[in-house]
Amino acid sequence: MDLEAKLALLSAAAKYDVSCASSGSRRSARRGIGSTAVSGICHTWSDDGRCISLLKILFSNRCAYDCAYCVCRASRPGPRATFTVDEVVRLTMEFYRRNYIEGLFLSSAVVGHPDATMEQLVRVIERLRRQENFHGYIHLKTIPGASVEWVRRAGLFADRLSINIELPSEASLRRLAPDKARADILGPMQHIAETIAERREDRRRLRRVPPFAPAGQSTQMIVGASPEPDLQILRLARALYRRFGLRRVYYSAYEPVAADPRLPPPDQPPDRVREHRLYEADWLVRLYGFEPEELLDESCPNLDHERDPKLAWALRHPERFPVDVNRADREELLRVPGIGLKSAARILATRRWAPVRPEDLAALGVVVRRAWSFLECSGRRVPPPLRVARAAEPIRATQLELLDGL
Amino acid sequence: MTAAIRYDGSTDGLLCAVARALGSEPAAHLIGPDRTGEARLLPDEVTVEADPIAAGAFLDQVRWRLGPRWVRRVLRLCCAADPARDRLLLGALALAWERGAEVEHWYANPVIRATLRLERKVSLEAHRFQGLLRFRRLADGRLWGPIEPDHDVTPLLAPCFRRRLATDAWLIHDVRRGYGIGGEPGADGCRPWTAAEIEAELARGLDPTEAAYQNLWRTFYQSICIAARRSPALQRRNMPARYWRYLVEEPGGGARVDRRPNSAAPAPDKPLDG
Repeated sequence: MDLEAKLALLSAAAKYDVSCASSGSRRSARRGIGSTAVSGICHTWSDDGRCISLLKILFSNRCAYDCAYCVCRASRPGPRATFTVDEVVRLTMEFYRRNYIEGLFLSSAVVGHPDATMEQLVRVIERLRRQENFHGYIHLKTIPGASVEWVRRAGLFADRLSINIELPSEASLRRLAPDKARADILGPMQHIAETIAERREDRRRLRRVPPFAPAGQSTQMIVGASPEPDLQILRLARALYRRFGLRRVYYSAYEPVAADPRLPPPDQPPDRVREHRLYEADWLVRLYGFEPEELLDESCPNLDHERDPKLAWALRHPERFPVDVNRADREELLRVPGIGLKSAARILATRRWAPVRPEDLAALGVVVRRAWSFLECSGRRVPPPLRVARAAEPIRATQLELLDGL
Repeated sequence: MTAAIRYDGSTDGLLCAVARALGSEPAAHLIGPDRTGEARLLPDEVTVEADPIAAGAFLDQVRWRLGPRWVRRVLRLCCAADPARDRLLLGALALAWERGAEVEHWYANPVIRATLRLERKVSLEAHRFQGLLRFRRLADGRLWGPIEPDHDVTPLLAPCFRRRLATDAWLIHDVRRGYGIGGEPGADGCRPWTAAEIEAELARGLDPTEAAYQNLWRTFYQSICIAARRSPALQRRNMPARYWRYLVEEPGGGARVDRRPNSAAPAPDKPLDG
């Protein structure tokens, strides 16, 4: 198989990996090529609207495992291919020089033994860093079941490490991915978290200590392939953020790949609204100070498809509103629908100069259409924006006559 | 009575004019080379010469009085292509001169708000082109990246690519404004290129391996898309179609869109055909 055919096959197999972030790491080349930006840089957007910043490929799709939900599973017929180390290195360097990509996202099916696969992946990134002097972004997906030594070695060269938790519960993992054990996923995750913390502490004392996965670690789970409710998924995400210090948990709506009695029927479309609502709730838990139990409870364990989770929470808690823009603290502002992290920061900054007026809110980045009924400015209610007011009260126009008043 | 300060349109000229205007009493009005009509309405007019040393001294003064964030802001605003640019730059600096650097947080103030919005437009476009610039390898090994930005962001992009491509020769070519900035392997700085120099460089043609890598990239781009999630609206929201002209990957299935009327720019690889 030629390089172009391999690239087509192995990038198509990698497209279900959600993460394409190139953020969180600052590298620059004293000698050699490449740099990374803390903010990350998107290089293009594919026709499905997703950002592309990394060359996202599998090293191989010849998988020894047979996970029911996976396009690369051993029992699925179809073409198989494996890159050579040279090919991946050449593609990365030539694409990087032309500014097509910000770096490499390398993952792989389990070829034979996890350690053997991990060795190939580590050889690629070691060669990029040591021989090619490449200082661009590298995200390496570690292989479940690989020994800690390989994970430790990978962290020396990669900016970000990730290991997919795959499914929200151990029971589902046993049922759909019988070759993978929960301990093979959480063990390396714990090890990466501890090593990152140790190395950060060492680097505080001595800057020359080499960093370990400076952009942290992330994970991904499939939603909709197994019966767990959103509350359980959000509790798991919170535990992963707090216990392992994960930068991100990615959610991926299950895309039917085959007919299997253990999975939803193949003609059932992926639940993208649920995926979207989970991301919104994840944001609220990670950055806005919400707990999963505030958003959901055992009697209502799934997110509302019709309303975003913050609006649904606000409507259940009328006693918390209206919030006064000129007196509320950051936490109170962040709980108002239509106010985000940036607009809350702007409100706090600008009210040191002058009280915020209702007409200033839009300029501060507040989505007035959603926020107006939850806010007041120094005791004054915020009027609805014109479009909302018009929609609420349809105008009944009547033709006036000059002599009507007589 | 408001006075008019005329300058030659260069960055150095603008900085010298702003320095002069900030020191003047009463308030002054800046006039660039493309705005001649206004001059007749204003009684007193002075012309300020572009002096790189005076411009540098003014930036030092900004750094000393307002800090490095304001220096970056002034340099970004100098790259903006907007009719309100001079007025906003002068207005925001006058406010900061009077009330201190922290005035940048007064988002409810219309001058500060409009200035920050313009600055954001420029820095967003520079950030976008850090990703959307596509280099093509020329026969002599130099990487040539044509762009057509709305604002003059090439000076903001050059330092990023100098760090990034320290071992290569490269050239960012602003096709719309007819100039470029390039760097050499191992060199610390970069230098401006004139249109004639760029034309001579492009006459060498493309490297023979270039087409193969462009094909590989297009293959990757098509394979990575999940067909069931196709969303042209989301794609265009993230990457406006006016930036597609020089992309190698042909987004939207190759439907290149150039909404700008009377665009005189050459097609992406046209200079290389001969």
